[in-house]
Amino acid sequence: MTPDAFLPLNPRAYAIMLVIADEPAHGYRIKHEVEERSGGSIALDPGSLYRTIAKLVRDDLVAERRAPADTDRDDERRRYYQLTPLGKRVARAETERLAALIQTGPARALLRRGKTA
Amino acid sequence: MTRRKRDGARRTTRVFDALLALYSPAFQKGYGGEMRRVFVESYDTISRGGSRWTRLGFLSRTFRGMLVSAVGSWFDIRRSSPASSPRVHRVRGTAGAFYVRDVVAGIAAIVRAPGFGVLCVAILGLGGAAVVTVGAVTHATLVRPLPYAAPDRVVIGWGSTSVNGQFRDVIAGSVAVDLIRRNRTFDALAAFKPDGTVLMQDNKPHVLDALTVTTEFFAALGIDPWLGRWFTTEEGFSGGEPVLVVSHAFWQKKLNADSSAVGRRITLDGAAHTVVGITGPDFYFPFALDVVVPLHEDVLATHSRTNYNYWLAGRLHDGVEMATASADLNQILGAIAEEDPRLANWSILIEPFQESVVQYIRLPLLAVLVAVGFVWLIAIVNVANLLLIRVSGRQHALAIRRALGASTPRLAALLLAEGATISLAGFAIALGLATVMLDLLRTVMPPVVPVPGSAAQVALVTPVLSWPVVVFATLVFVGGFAVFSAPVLWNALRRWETGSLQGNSRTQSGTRGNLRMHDALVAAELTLATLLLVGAGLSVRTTVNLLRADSGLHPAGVLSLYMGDFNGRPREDRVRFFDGVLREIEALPGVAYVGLNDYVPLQNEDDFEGVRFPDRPPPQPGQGPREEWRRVSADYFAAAGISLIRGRTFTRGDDETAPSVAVINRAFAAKYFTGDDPIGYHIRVTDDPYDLTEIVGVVDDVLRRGLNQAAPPVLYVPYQRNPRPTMAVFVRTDGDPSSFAEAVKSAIWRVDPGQPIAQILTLEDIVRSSIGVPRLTMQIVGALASLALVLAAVGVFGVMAYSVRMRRHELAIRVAVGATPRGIRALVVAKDARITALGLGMGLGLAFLLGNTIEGLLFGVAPADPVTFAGVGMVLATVSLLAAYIPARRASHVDPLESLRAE
Repeated sequence: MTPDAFLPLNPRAYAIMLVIADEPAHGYRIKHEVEERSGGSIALDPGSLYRTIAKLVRDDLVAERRAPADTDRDDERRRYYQLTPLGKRVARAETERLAALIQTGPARALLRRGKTA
Repeated sequence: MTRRKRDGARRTTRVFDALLALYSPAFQKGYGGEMRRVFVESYDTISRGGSRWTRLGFLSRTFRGMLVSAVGSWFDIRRSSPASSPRVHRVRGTAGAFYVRDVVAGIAAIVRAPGFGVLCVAILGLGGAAVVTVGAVTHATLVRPLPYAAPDRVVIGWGSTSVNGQFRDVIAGSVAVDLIRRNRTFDALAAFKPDGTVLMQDNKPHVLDALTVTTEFFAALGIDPWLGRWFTTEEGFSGGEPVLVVSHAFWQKKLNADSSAVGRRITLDGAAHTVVGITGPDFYFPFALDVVVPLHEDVLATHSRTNYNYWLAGRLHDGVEMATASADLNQILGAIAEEDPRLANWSILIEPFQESVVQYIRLPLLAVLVAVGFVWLIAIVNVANLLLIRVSGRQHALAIRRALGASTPRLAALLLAEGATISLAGFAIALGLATVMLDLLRTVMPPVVPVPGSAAQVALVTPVLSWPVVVFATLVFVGGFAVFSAPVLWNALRRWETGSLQGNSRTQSGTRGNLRMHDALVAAELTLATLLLVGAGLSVRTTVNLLRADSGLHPAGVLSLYMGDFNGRPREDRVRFFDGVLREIEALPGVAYVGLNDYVPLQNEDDFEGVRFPDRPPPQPGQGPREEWRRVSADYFAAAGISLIRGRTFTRGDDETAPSVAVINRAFAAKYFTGDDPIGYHIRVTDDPYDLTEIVGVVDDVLRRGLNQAAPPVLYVPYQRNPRPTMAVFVRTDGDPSSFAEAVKSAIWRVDPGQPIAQILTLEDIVRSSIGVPRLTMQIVGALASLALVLAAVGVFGVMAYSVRMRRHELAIRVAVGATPRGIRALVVAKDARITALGLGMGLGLAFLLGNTIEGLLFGVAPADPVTFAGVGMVLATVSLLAAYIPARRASHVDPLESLRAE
């Protein structure tokens, strides 16, 4: 299947995928990062966090990973998630799609109007 | 962390765990632990830094989110990974194998997405369990013939009189004997009377339920003894050997299930009796019995014809109609009445045994049957809706099959297989749940119910999950399967015809029509749920009214029991004993008043005596009024809490040496003294020791026949002139009356240790159990209505979720052109509001029209009770809007970019 089949991504899924694109992270870190990066506009309660992760795992976009080597003992037992190669391609495709969208005339017009208003 | 904070953390974790339990098991297993960690860590961080309001905001957001995804977790269809190919490519083999494969695929589809399956199975299981349980009760009471040989020939005979409206009254032993000897239409006819008898065991008197019968009794029922034999003709005459038959339960309990029990001697009422037979374990007779004792026909024949005591049980000759037998008996009675005009207005009413037993519960049971039918309809509509939604979600897969050459019957088989799997699983759950519910029902069912127009109280047949009930349940499920499969098939087939199946679901042309069908189904569900809720509401109000209704008693703190057995003992002995008991109990600490009455009120007892008014024209022979009378002690009114309206009640001085006095109740005064002052009037009572009696007071009515019936006129007289051999004592205490039971018992046995004591109850229990049937009806209808409400909410949720999915494109455009999330939510909720208004309106309208059919079940509330209607409207509207809110919320999160992408 091509990455395009997964687009558009749910904004939550996309935000989560961005956090775990390069290095694995556990649930709390994902939640924390997503909320911080989005300035609080995307809130993740444990339910929606793990439902989204579950869906991504099912679709083969995210996989469980072993904890990084430098993790302390307590955190070792947690589950870490990271993008699969397919997940990476999907995330890239979504980013490109969004970027292209913003380059369109109407979107620019919207942005301009937003500034003057 | 402070202790308070720690407690708070523990509490919130508990809430979190409760919410976690709502997720689908697979999800919990996979992610539950991690979710908990994330929650605990987040909460810690928030608690450390934030104020109380931040904390509350966090919790409210989290818990709301958890709830939404909990529901979602059940709907998450476990899609196979996108890389794997559709199965249809691998289809090979014969046509028959295709069908099998499709059926297997249908089952597999359910197993793969358990959320949907679990929901459908739960709906059918719960609804089905209600159907099966009520079906079992109906079968046991209304349908299944009583366990007698040729049960349609077994009848019960009552004495019927127009004088006091007791159309299922007793007749005199002498009259019964005449009927038994002279009838030409019965194979066997017997008189019987439920009675108490006293068994001495371990030096303590035990009261047993005895049935005294003439010897053809068992032949009339047409049953065989389990062990031993029934009575011989000789044993039915004086001079015959004293014998008895014991029930199977009595044999197990009191005779230790001893196989050599037949032939054993038992001392009853001070005389040795030989056990000759034991009834079978399945023996049923509507009157409680431990032992059956023969009556002596020659003694009965000498009874006065106005000494009314017995009912009749008979077996008709083969081929004899009920009416013929009735004419036969009434002709004999007519001949007797010619000699004895006192019987002029009496007749014999015979009716099928079963008929008389179920009289009282027929109407409530039919109401429950209708209610359960509604629940089943709602369940079926719900499943139909869910299946429709599911099929529409799989249109693409079906279209591929179609394109690859799958025939219409094959696709139909695939669709049906799913429904069949769900039905089977639901059926199994329904049967399992029904056994549990029947067990529960057996514990809450009233042990006896009153027979209308009679003092009789009869036991109902215990409902069990028998084969006919299982067959019935099977038919119900097959019917349900047919009904919920039909729209699915129709819908799918129609689509195949028009070829629209190939289409993309987003541009589906059939979507509009489809949604209309869903809307109609949901509106129908809501209509049925409204009807049920109105029924439940009225039933609750009836029960509350019954409980609150002034029974004329003040039952709090009162203990009552029956005591004494002075059959054949002189008046002096009785008075000495009862007086002694009053003195002993009065002396107990914490006792305020002690009173005697021949009977405990509210238990359907009756005892009539003739009354005459010396200054009024004498009645025709046999037409003289007969009224309820009760022999009571001075403090009875104070002990039972019956208020005095005029004049005075009795004093200790009103004994057999003083002039005869009486107190009447309000109903008596209203019937015979309209406008006149009854106080000081002299009335004649046909019981000789009382004779000419002065009315000295008027007291309030006691609603005797269950709280929901008008109080009959009652005449009270002091008991000392002619006490009954057994009397009830009422003890008004200043505390918990049941804690006085032991002290009262020993007080009675201090007077005479040989006297039996029976039926120790608080007066509050008596009031409560007098409305046992309406209360049980309320509980059952209430449970069914709650189930209907939940099912209707599921229906609303399902259809709203579906409609949101179908309209995602439209909603996305709306968002893109500036609709706010709030606007989108309002749009979805408004749609739900329209359906709800339609369903609610139809439901309330129907409830209004059908109201008078259940009027007979109501008390103190009109069938179109505005409070109930308004309450139901509010509850249903609230639940429906809540159910629509989750899909509405989802709709408001529609990504506007989607519409751009689709263009």
